[in-house]
Amino acid sequence: MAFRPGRYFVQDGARRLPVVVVVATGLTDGEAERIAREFEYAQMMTGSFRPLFVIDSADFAPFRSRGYVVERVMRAHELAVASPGDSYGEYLFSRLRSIASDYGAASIVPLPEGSAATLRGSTARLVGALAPA
Amino acid sequence: MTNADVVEYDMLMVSDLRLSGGTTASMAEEIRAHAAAGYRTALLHVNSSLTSKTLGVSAHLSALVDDGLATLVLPGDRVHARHAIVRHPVVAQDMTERPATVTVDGVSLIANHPVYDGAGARQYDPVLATEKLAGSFGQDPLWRPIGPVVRRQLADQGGVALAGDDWRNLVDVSRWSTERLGGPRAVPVLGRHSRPHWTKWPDSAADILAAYPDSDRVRVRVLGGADPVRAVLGRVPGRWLVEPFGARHPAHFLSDVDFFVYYHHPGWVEAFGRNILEALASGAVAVLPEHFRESYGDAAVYATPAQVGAVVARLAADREAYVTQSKLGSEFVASRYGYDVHVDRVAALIGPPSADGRPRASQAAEAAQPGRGTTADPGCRPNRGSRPERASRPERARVLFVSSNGTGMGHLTRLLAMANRATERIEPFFFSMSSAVPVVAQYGYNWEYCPSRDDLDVDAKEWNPFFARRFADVVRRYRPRALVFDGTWPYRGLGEAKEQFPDLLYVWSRRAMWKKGHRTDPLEKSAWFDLVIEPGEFAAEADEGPTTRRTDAHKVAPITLLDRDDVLDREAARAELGMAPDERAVLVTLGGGNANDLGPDLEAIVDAVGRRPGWHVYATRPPIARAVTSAAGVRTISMYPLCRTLAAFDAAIVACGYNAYHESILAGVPTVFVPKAKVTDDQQARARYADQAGVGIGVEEVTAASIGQALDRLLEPESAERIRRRCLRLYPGNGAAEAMALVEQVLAEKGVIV
Repeated sequence: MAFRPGRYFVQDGARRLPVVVVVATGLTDGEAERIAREFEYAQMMTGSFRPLFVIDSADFAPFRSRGYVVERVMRAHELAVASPGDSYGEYLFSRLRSIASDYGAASIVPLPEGSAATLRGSTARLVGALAPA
Repeated sequence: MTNADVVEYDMLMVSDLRLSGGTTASMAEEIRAHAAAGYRTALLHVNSSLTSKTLGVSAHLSALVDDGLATLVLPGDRVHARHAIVRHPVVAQDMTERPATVTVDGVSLIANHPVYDGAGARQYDPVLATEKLAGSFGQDPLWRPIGPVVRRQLADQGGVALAGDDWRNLVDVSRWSTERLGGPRAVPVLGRHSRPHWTKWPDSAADILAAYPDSDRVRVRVLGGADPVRAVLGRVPGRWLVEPFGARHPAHFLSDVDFFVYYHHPGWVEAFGRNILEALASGAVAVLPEHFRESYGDAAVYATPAQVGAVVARLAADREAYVTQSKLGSEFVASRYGYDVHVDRVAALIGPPSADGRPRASQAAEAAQPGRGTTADPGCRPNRGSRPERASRPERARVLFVSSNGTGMGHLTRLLAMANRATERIEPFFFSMSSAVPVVAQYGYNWEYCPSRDDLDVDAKEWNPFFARRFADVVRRYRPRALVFDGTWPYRGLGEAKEQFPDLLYVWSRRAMWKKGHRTDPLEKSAWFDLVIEPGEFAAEADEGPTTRRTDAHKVAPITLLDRDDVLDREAARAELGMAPDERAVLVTLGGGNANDLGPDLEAIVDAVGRRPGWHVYATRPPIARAVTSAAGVRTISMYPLCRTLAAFDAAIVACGYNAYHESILAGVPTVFVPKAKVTDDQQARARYADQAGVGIGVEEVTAASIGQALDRLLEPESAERIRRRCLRLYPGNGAAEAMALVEQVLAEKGVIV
């Protein structure tokens, strides 16, 4: 899908960059801004991918303000009420699978909870090591 | 290996864990039964010849592993179990490697597959399977057939130790059952679910079409694909509704089926038919070939394919007979195939759950913790990592409130206004393309978000199928009984979903005030909807758009989130916002949109207000904003809903979106109405009408001069008071409750709620 690549990428071809799905669930206050910033840095440094963020909070703004697409999954306790008995692991897996398929993801990067605090641009930049499509 | 290195389990379940059908479905039920009783389970995978595909562990089992009800044994793990249950003789036969680090005290081999198929071809060698298991675990297995067909074949074969009783597969009826007291649907639904394999279907066109007619008199639904039918007929009948294998949980599927009709290839010998068991548990009436009578007795109805039509017609015409047969089936399953049967036989094998120092209900207790998928319902048993719990399905009817995105929050707010006025019979659930949808959580509603076409910045050709897939997924997962869509243009995916979910009721909240000359083709989509509601417009007299010529909608008063009584007075509102009691303040709210659109307008307004000494400018930052719009000297506040604290302000400058327009008049705040250019919304007409009606001042465009002149008119003391009084007198009230009552009336008429 030729969805928006980010606010600084307006050139031809930017919408054909490989899609990296960053799974950033379990973020606490302020971490979304940090994650968005680091991946924007990585994208600018490499010019080689389009990030798509999957979060479980309502903090869309840090990603949308940068021109990124954000998808949202329920948290475990929310799913327990919305769909009792449904396995949260299975739900998350199923949603990620659909997201990866819908957007044509080249890779999925799950960020462990708590990693936002230590994620540095040089690490995030590694997702840009994808070969051009 | 030392004892300290070995992890102890009660049961080791061995099979080809990749298999997607009844084998792993049955294992999953047994694992859940173990967990509920306190037995610990390990899973051991064997690569068998039953599938050559590169696959992961079956979804039946992976969910249980994720949720801690079973542990996957990896090569090298040191494990001891008190008993091994090996499922499928072919798996046993294919065990080429001895699991050196796994030991067990006893072995059972569940013979869930016949030795010979319908043509007499041998499927496996029981003696060889026994030898392989004995070599792997150091124990001769006891063979446990799952039914009389397999037992007979094994007995005739000889050479293996046979258990005295059959090993019955399990079904938890409470998780599968659907209430059937109303009898079948007016158009009976015939359904079947199975793996997409040619052995699972008849091999003759006549039998297929006799058992599953391509007719308007019945509705045929298939879960598991229909490629084998295509191979026989050259096509899949157009009236059938076919869902691929795994599209949804069979329990969900069966709740939409009145008659479970199952006919298979004559060369296939069905060892037991787990799908039949599941159908009986769901309460669907099973119509089967005669050879299943030995296994199911009176629980099902038996017929040839050619007789299926007559059986269905007879029971569809006799509700009492249908209900009686349905109960026979479900009670049969409950009495013979429930979890207690399995727990008893496990206890007979190994005694009570072992004690190893860990809390005995460890898996069950862990599974029951918040976040493991249990509900707040204290009666809910520990999560079994399966698909949605039928027994704990809310008694309320779930209604999906679907909002398009828009650049403001009008669509979402109208739906929220309706949801807040639903009776206890309704459970609202939001599915929205608006990034502001998280606000509904403040009111206790669950929500899912789908990026809009604008969010993705793609064309309709890419977005439409994307939305269709997402919408169908939401409906399958959350199973609403109705949807209420608020948007100008019903998406194509909504229409496509009608075929997949024919029982889902459709309601359209279709706002009026379209621009004159607007294209009318969206209005043709009214045909999709069981009910069209038109939220009222204060400026309805000025409406020149195409909706004025429609007679298909129920019209209600303007819909706002709050009623007039919910609006705080000036003093209370100022206290809530932290404003000084005597400051002079004007509120600017220009709707959603991005900073590039709103910045120049805000600057012009600030310039105009700035020429009035002593005035403070407040600007709202809507939840939907992509970025912060700010200007020097402006205090940014977040207000939702807007009108609750509007009375705090001496004046307001408001864009004429549906929400802000109506809330300003509702609250009686002297307002300058600023129309924004929109594709559909005739904001110019709203602004002009407000001016003509004396409830505010309308401007045509935003400049410092026009705003300054408008404020001059607005803030004359007599003018402001006159506007307040006219707002209070002319505003027609809130149509939200009436709109929601109309929705519930339709649901009641359709029998969804009482």
